[in-house]
Amino acid sequence: VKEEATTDPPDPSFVPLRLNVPDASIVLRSSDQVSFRVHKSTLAMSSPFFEDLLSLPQPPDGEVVDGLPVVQLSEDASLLNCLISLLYPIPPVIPGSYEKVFALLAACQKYDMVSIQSYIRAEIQRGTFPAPVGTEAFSAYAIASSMGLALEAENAACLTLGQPMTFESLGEGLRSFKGQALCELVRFRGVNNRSSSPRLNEHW
Amino acid sequence: MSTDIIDPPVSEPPASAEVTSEETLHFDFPGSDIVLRSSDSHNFHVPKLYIVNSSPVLRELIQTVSDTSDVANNEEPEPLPVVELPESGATLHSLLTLIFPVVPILPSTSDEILELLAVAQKYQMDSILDHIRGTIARQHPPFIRPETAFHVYFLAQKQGLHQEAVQAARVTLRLPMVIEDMRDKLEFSEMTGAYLYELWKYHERIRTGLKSDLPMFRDFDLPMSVKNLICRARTDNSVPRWIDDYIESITGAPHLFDLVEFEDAWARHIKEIRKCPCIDIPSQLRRDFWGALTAFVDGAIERVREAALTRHHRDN
Repeated sequence: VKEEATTDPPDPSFVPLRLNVPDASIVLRSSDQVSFRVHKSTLAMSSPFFEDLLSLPQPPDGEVVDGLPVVQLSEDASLLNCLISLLYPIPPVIPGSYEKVFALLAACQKYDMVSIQSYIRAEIQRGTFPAPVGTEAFSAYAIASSMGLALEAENAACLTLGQPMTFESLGEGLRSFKGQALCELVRFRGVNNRSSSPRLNEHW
Repeated sequence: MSTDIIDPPVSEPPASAEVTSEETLHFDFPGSDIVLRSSDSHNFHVPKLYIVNSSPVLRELIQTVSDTSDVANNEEPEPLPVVELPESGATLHSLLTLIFPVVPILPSTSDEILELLAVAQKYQMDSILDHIRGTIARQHPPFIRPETAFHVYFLAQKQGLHQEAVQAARVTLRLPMVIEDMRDKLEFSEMTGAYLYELWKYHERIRTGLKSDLPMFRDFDLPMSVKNLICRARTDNSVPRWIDDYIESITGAPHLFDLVEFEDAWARHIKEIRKCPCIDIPSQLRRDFWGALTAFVDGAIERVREAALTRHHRDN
């Protein structure tokens, strides 16, 4: 599926796909200019977003490679590699960190890939996909909040319970908190740390 | 003859506009030859000489507009060039009262004052900036005080007002930095983790400075009268242990540099060690101690301020 990479893949989780798609009908191009040849029908089946997009006529000035329309995406090749591996019946390419798992979930959310998102969440629960541990929960909360991943933010918030939240423990991770995320976490901890039956983390 | 420097808005201002009444935005000034139009469509008729002398940025903008203005025909009065500005009518009005020889009107809220400063900074109005800063420095209660310090700090950071951010950061030193207890201080839309992190780093630099200056303070700057105090629990340097502990506590938590905290430490010592001669410390000795401690703390803060200023100038 992966056609070409313009730069060396620095990510150890970046394992090139070995799927032969001779009858690919579309090219997805990553933000770092790597092309992936896939089936329109597969994309449309897993994503109402792509279903709508692909139902539109190809713009006259749209790029075409080997007769295939090219769709430019904002995700990088590493992420698309994981995402596309989840669309086909092949072993999934597992992201190397929980941050990358969150980015993958955010992409699924953006493209309305509900069943893929559910699959990833199930794999996180099974421990196949990486999840934050220990004090990583604070950064995980900040990242999940900024990506609009409500479930992951809530789970991360639960994981922070019982751990001290100090400037020292947050360190540079404090920078990741956008908008009101920090206040919301302080409020959440204020309620749940005082609660006689604190909410338990059911997912991680 | 006097000329209105503001016209009524050319269209209805939005209901939420900060312009609360037309009267507040209305004053006369003669010799207008240009119109400044606010984002909410208030027209200010002003003599451009004042504006171009106040701001090199507006001078350039006015020059551009003047060069491209329509040429009037001979039968109609020549229209004044219009300079569209992104600021609200209320902000422009305040700004103009600081440029023209009229009674200056500062906005009433911290948000608006900082916005005004940011606008003056954007238009490179150095003397107006000094004017605003001088006026707010004379405000009572102070513009930046412990209750407002965090809000002003976040606003100043958002507006790119380095001087106000540093001033507000300094006032936050009077407050404990315990993140779980700071909820009410963080509930501002301008607050971001990045700004809070910068504030934390500032506090850390102050603490580091205090810790590094502490041995020198103990050895050389602590008044002899304090070292000669008779106490039943003393350090190796013959300083009463409770005073030494109190000084050291400030290096870890600068908000403890506070007379009430000092008196609490004193009271705890008297309670713990009965009949200690420390029960009777002359007021002059306490004043001397406090003066020396103030110089110690201020010295560390000043060095951090100077270093931050140097970094700011280098980065900008």
